[in-house]
Amino acid sequence: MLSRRDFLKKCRDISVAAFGADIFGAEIAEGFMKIAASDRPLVSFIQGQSCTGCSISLTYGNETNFIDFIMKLIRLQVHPNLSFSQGESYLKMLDSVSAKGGHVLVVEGSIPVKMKKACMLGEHTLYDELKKHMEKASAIIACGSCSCFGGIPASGMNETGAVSVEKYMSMTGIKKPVIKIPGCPIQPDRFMGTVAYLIATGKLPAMKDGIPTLYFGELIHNNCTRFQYFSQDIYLDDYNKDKHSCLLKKGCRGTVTKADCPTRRWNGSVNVCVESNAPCIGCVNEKWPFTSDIYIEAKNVEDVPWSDFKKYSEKRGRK
Amino acid sequence: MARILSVDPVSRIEGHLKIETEIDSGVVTRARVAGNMYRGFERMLLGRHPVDSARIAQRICGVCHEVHGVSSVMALEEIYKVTPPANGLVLRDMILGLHIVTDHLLHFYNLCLPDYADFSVAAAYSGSDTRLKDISAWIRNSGTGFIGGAAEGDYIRDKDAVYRLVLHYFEALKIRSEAASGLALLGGKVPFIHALLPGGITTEITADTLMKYYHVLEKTADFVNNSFLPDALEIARRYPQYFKIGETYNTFYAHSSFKDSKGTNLFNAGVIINGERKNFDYSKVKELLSASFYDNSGRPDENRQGAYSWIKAPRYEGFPLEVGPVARFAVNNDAGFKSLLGRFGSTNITSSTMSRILARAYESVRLCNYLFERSEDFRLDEPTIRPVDLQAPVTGQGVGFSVAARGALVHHITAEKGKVTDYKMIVPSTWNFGPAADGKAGVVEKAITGTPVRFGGEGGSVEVGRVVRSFDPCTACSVH
Repeated sequence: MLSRRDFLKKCRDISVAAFGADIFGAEIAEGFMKIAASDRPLVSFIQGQSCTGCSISLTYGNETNFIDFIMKLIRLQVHPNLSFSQGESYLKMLDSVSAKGGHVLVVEGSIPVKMKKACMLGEHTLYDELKKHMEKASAIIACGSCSCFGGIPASGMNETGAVSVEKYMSMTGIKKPVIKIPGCPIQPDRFMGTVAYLIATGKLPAMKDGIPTLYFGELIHNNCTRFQYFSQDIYLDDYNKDKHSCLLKKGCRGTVTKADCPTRRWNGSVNVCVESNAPCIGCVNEKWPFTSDIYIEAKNVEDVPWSDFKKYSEKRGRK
Repeated sequence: MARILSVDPVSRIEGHLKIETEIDSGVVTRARVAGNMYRGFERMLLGRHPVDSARIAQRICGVCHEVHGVSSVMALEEIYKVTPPANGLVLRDMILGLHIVTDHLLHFYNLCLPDYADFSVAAAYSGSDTRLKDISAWIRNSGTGFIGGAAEGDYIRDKDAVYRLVLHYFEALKIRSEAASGLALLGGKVPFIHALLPGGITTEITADTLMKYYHVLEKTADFVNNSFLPDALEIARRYPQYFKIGETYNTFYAHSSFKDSKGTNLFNAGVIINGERKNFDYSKVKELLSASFYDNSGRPDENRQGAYSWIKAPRYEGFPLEVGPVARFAVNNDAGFKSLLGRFGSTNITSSTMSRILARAYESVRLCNYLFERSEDFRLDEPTIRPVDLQAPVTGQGVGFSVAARGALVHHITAEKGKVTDYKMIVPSTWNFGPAADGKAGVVEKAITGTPVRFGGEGGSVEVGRVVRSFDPCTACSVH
């Protein structure tokens, strides 16, 4: 466990890692100090049609540490995978946090609106229950691609009518900003960093379409450690031999997916998909898991349907 | 008169699960287990390229992702008629084995332990251990709700034991996170390994990757040997009655897994019915739907008459079977596990709440030992993957018989001209948590029946919770 001093130092490091700039970091560290003293927000988690992957990813952590997060930054009230209570008393705890309000509500997974019994919260359907938990929340976070866009449950024929948190809110008339942190699963820094920002500044982070631009502002391709191979036209053909090459001809979706995976990395920053010689599958992309084949192999880069670099570079140029 | 006591939702598990019990004279006389969430993986994969399942099928569950990835990739390899090079298989075992150990750690410490230890005792700590001082202050001042509201019960309250267990609760999270970095080194990232493809593993494995993996494995093994196994034994010593509670039909089933370089399996395949061991025959497995929300053709039907669960009911020649570590040891008649149970007066490997908990700890020790040896089979500079055309319009069938922490796992893919025409998964928690069918209660329903219930209240029975969690429910998997 960290001492208070170590913790503050750590906060500064997180802030720098998460927000990029020292000055910004210092401001947040100050916020952290206030929070560490007392005012830590209540946080409840609700899981819809989820696989728990986002929560598991959080507990793994990256630069951010989950234990510090729950012990020093927030007051975790309800979490389906961690709560010591069960059954009725679990639901009562959830109800009492939502009734008081002012909490951060995190929704993991999508919500079935056609086949409502495809996701229950106790005796009631999630569809009927979720609204009351959202109404008084001070912030709602859609945690992962399923809650941001529908994700896997909404793919294919979508028998259950799975929708995103935002869609659910517009259907049930809840007007409130939602912070969307996509990912299948979410990358832990992006979640914990966003919550830290909220706490420290009392403001929503800079967002585009509800997605924090800090983490999701730039195409993966542009910061890819293998960009040099792309610019030299060195492409992977054989997974076994060409360990140092660009994966675009294997269907890498880094060119249409905005996230900071290449620089932020995963699991103690030890690796990231592309570094392991596996094409980016675009798991933070709004369209994930896509309707086309995940691995579209092409002889020429131009044959990859999403290799329209010109469009992207022009867009960027115009800004 | 019988009264109804429910635990809905069951927390500290994966997924949405409801347990309804009828209690008469302080004993559970009838139980119903219901999976309460459905997404439809088998049907959403229809029409996609079979290779997509290597990515999508892992998303069935974020807790046991790797096992589904391996299983679907094994099925794909049958369709593609490709065998990974030796290194590919070594890496796959290194991923799967370490993953299962971390899964057992999560289960014991973070999901089960709060059923046995009263964490609030740690609030009174006044010694000099800084970690415990922090935890104590946190419990006293934090207003952290998630550790409150545990069901009434006979918890461990003696200080020294609680202090140690509470420390290990947090230590387990830390070890899991480190182990995850070991998995990510080989597979790109976790959850959801993208380096796993039919034909092997794409990652470039260098000497330093192996050394880092080895380092993580040593730390994990250290925790498993010095904390996990002793803690599980202590729980078993303090709650010996749970060797008699939570017994199933004592019918078991396991797949072979974790081959070493000499071709010997750590676990062999087999089925045990009526005390007799038989070879496993996949054609004898049927999934029954009478109590599940599906019509006779397998389409979801949330209003189906008589249905109470989204989980199907798998049967082997009509028998419900228990899967999981106890099943693996029973099928293998494992001498080590037998002698461990012998310390508690058991002469045979039988199913119970406590034998399941002990089996996970014991299996983690075995797996760590296996992984030390297995990782030495890796040959630097030799291939890790064979080339496969990931868009080939393949036709055929493949079945991946693999292993998960919770038991035997099957992914069955049928493809025609590069499109999935049928995808079937029979998942460990489907076996354990399936509903009643043909007059036979599901495995967990059977296990709960007979559980003495001394405590109740609005948190439901702690005793029933213990039985249910000993199976390590993975409900998203079981429904998929």
